[in-house]
Amino acid sequence: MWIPLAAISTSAYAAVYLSVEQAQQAIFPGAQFTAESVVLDDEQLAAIARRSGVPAPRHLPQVWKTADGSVLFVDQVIGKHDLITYAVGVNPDGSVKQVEIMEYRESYGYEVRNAQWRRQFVGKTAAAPLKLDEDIRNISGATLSCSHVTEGVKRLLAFYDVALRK
Amino acid sequence: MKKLSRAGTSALLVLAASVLAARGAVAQEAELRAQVESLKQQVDTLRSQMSKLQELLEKLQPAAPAGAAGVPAQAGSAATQAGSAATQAGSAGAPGSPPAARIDTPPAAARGAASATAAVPPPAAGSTGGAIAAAPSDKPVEEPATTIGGYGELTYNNYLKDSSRNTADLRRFVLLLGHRFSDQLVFNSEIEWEHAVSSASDRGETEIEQAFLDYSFQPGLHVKTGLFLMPFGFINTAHEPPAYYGVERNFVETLIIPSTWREGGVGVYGSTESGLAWDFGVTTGFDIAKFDDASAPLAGSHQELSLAHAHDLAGYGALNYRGIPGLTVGAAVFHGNGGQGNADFRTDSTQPDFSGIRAPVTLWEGHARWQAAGFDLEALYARGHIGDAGRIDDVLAAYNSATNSGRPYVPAGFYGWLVQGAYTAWRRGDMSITPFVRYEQYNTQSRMPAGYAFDPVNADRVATVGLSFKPHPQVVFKADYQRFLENPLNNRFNLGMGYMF
Repeated sequence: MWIPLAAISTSAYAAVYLSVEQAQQAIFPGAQFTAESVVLDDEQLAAIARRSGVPAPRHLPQVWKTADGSVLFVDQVIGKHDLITYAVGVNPDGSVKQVEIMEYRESYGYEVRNAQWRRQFVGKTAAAPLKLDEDIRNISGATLSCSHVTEGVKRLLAFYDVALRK
Repeated sequence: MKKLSRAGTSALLVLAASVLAARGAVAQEAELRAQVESLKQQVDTLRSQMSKLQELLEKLQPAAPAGAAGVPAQAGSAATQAGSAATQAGSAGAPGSPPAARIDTPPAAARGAASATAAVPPPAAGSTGGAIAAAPSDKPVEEPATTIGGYGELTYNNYLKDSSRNTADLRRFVLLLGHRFSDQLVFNSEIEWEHAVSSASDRGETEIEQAFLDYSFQPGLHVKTGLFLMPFGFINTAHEPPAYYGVERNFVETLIIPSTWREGGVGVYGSTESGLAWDFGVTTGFDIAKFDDASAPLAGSHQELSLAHAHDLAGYGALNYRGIPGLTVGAAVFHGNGGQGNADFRTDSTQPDFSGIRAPVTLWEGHARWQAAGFDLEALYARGHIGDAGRIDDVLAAYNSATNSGRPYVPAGFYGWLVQGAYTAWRRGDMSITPFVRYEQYNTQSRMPAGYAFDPVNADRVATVGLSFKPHPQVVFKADYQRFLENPLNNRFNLGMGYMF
């Protein structure tokens, strides 16, 4: 069931590295986006939790689609006590195109922003382990943030598989 | 050839025009019809969307009062306003729900709540089995939030050569209290209780280890001011029990780098996306007159921002590179005088008189860490100097003989280094078992002023072998054996339990 709703842009805060528009353009330059609102039933939520091994979130991510079937997620995970807002672009084949950190506000653990760390996710699909210290290397001193972002990406890929893949 | 008559031509023209016009009209009509059709379709689509929205709204309506009954998370997400996740105080949208408590649930509890509300059909009255709508609206976290976290550890030491020294201890109980004033301004603090009971007659201590404001000018650029941890080594800034191996913190990072080392002052820090992190500042320094422990030169002289003498401030700088995932390489340096204008003697003339002695203290360290494929390898080297040590010790020697005291002598130099390797041998879900080995060497009196002897008890080479069992990434059970190659009477077997949240 698709009920298109207008995308609402976030206001700019100093702790925001990228606004939604900037994240969209950073990951899919030049693309046009349509916001999607997804309604999931319990079965789908359970399937996402099962496939990703990560408990279902309280709030589902914001979802945008492009004309060619690529998807952009904007989601949040906890760092240590504060939320990290991040964006994940998924190619039409279900693999990760790019991960961007949009907001990071804690005093520690900000190394998740490192481009080289985020590059590890490129090409990953829902079938990948996406586990810290396995196929995703950790950054010492940022273990919690790295682990939660990794879990978030894993969950988003499961979400894509369960709810968006045609 | 017959020429067409003028009338004929006109007639032809008129005919052609009317045909064209007619075709135009037909085309226009067709176009109009097509447009009408398309509009009809759009209206139909909109109508069906409207009815779906209506259904959704009806489903959610009865959920609102259920929200008041204590599932604020559910009500929050049900409303089209995005209530947030853990750090949201006062999520709006659910009429009748009590204003959310200002003190947040810790992330662990919040995550528990998340799985409770999402994985299990929500108790919303009248809803047909719980659909959860995506929250398409603006970014969730709008309001400031107070957070509570913590960590702690219990330890057991068994001295193999002298069991009367065996000890069990609630080594640390720590609360982390933080408050976010705005998206840019946050307050962080750390309160610690050591050895469970703190009183005039008990050896425990209560201390504030951190209390600082952190302001973010822009992404990757912060200023902090207050009492904060010095960015040296690994353990000083990551001293939660699940974050390091071994029941006891390693000696290099306790005796040479005086973990948990904190100073009061101002620091600017930041990081680049390429992985370079930097941290520079001006802070309080050491008070050499307080030196009371030859086995831990800086730990004995630290002021901990407790009525700290501030005649002499200090500066520090730290650089870390984490551009290659898994690799950390960094170094830090600290320098500041420890004479403090002879403040201790001036307030209490029964103390040694260090007038005219600046006592510059310098500490520097370098470290590297590699974490990949289950391995966790690290190396660290730290070295310190106390200038004017000869003059300080001369004053102490005179004082000791005049007052019949036994004040320890200040070293001119001290150093330590370690190498450590750990490997996560077993993993299942959240659980893991990681054996490790560590070798360290230190000497807290590696250079003494001429005429002053060092005590061999203050230098050692220690080999540690053990493992960490984590039933959860934030909880750890540790066991290890430590062999003191220079002072084997200290050989011991340790057990520990730790947690962080």
